[in-house]
Amino acid sequence: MSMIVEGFGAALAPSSLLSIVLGVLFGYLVGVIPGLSRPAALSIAVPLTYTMSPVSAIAFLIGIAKASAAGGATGAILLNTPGEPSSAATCFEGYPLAKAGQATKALKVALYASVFGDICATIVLIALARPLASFALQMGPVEMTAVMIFALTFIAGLSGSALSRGLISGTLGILLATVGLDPETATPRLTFGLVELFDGVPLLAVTVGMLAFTEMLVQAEQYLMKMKRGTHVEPTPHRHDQSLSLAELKRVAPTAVQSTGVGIAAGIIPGLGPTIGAFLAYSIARRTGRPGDKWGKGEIKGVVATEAADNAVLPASFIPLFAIGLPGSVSAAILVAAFMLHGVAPGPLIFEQHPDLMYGIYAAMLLASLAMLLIGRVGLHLFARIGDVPLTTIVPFVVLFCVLGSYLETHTFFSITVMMAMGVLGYVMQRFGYSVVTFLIGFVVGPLFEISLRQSLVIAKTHGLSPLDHPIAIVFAVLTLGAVVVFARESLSNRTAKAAEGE
Amino acid sequence: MRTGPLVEFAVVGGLCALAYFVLIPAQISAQGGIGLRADVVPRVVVVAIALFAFLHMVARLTIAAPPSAPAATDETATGEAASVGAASGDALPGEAATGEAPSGEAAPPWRYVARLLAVIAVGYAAILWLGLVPGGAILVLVITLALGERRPLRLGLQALGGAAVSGLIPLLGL
Repeated sequence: MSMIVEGFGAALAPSSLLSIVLGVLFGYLVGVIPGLSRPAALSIAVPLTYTMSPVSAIAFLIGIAKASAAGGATGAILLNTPGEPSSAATCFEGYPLAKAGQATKALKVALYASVFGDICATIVLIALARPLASFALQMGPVEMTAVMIFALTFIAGLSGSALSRGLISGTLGILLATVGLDPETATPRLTFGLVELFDGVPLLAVTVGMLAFTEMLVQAEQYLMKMKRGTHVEPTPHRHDQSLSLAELKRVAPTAVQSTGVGIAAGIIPGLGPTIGAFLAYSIARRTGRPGDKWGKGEIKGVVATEAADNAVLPASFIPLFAIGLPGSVSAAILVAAFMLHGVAPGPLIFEQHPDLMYGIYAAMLLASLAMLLIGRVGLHLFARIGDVPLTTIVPFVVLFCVLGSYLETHTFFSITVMMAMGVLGYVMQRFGYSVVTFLIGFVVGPLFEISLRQSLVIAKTHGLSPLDHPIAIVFAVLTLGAVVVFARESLSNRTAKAAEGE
Repeated sequence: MRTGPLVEFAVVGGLCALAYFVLIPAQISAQGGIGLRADVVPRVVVVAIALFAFLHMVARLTIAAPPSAPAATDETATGEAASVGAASGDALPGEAATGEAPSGEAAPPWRYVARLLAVIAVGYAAILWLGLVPGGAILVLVITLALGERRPLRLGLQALGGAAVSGLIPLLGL
């Protein structure tokens, strides 16, 4: 009980509250501006938390992550341009609502649905993470290896059109993670004589480079192409005042609950992410719609479905992160970097070693949800204007943030070089259909995977590996095989079907 | 026979071979005293990559290539969403995470990104030689110019903004 009080006290400290508010404000900014995505903003923001306390730092980053999910709806509704990929589904019903003069209603319902989904998922996280962590403590190296292989395979299968390309990306990430000193013998591996690489490739430089820097290259390239073609048009937003009635709120409530459940499931399962969660929730809401719903013409249930699911994914994706140390999404992977920066290793032992920190984070997450509601409601129209910032301003400054953020990690220009190199690699990978997301998760999970694998091999050598002793590992091995079969068949049948259509 | 899958495997497989036979032996001293040798995990990973690349090639050669989809307009929500989704996101299943450009459009010419990288390199060189604050201003300025902005006031303000942001680092003692 004293730990809970301590944790909540830390979250309610003025510095933490300020961090939460600043994080939410920055998150809305990020969500509204189409050129900047949540993972990119998080990776840039992590170095800014160096001087903060662990609770303030995580609260700041969580504020950004939560509010960016909510802010992404603004561009989707007003401009038919989602600020976040996960808000793309909000365009389907949000933009028609705006065209019909009900933009404010759509913005309000998006905000309320976002907060609802977020708070529910946070409560589920608080309820489930610790019990799951206790269960995870029963898992040894063999089980952890099996879980990580399953997670990477699942993520690889969901990451693009080809499972094999996803597996290549994930494995490449693991390969990059081997750069540095060997964990057992301290032998330099693939360091090319560079002392700066003895501690491995800088994590922040990799995430900033492959997310933010790569994204800016892609956005700028698309902008230049549109300018060349003369097809770039700055859209004019339409705004009319429309209130949201209690009857309408009651009407959309079941959709909010249903979609929140979808979002939580998408968050817990590694690799699905908020984009899939939002699209899935929209599809389900549409299929379970009632006569009289105006799907495709401005149905507010559609906005509720996508936004509730989108915002429920993030807290739920922390469940595998806190319970077993496995990031279920790129945002969670970036938070791993933030945790490690502050001397905390996420995983099942976090509840034993840092209980006050965990309760502080829980409290900060709930406070961030409330801040999201207040700031979002007050700043509704102001945030809409921020979405008009041109790409010619966004790209140069985000690149500058990438450079400065990388520099802050090690205070050497080497990190900046690594960041740019990884950014170019990320661009090339995306261009040829290799998933950057899977690569990053492979890179983040790589060291843990290698240690688990080595320990498993030692166990196998000394005690042998009997299936009866490791039932959990067997279950995950079977699940991995099943996932491979399902994804491979899906991929092959998709290609066959497309080839048949072409005949 | 389609050459795309073969070229892709040749590149990926070739890099794996280079890593396995040249880089790893040169860069990792395979001491075997205690536990696993230092080069085992990198070798296993490289072999795994080569294997996945081979399987990918076989799959692509076995099934006929799908027809190229008609190009989507830039104004559609799906096109915009796919363009945004192509850039990044927490997960990118089927959301244009493929080398084939989003919505079936042809991949852009390399010259755009090459120009951007050249300009960013100039800005980075300025940071190395002149320091963070003036270098930051120059970096923002050259990228803005590369994106086609020519209004002097806008250029000046953004360069000043770049200097101000870069100046926060020594100012805040970060």
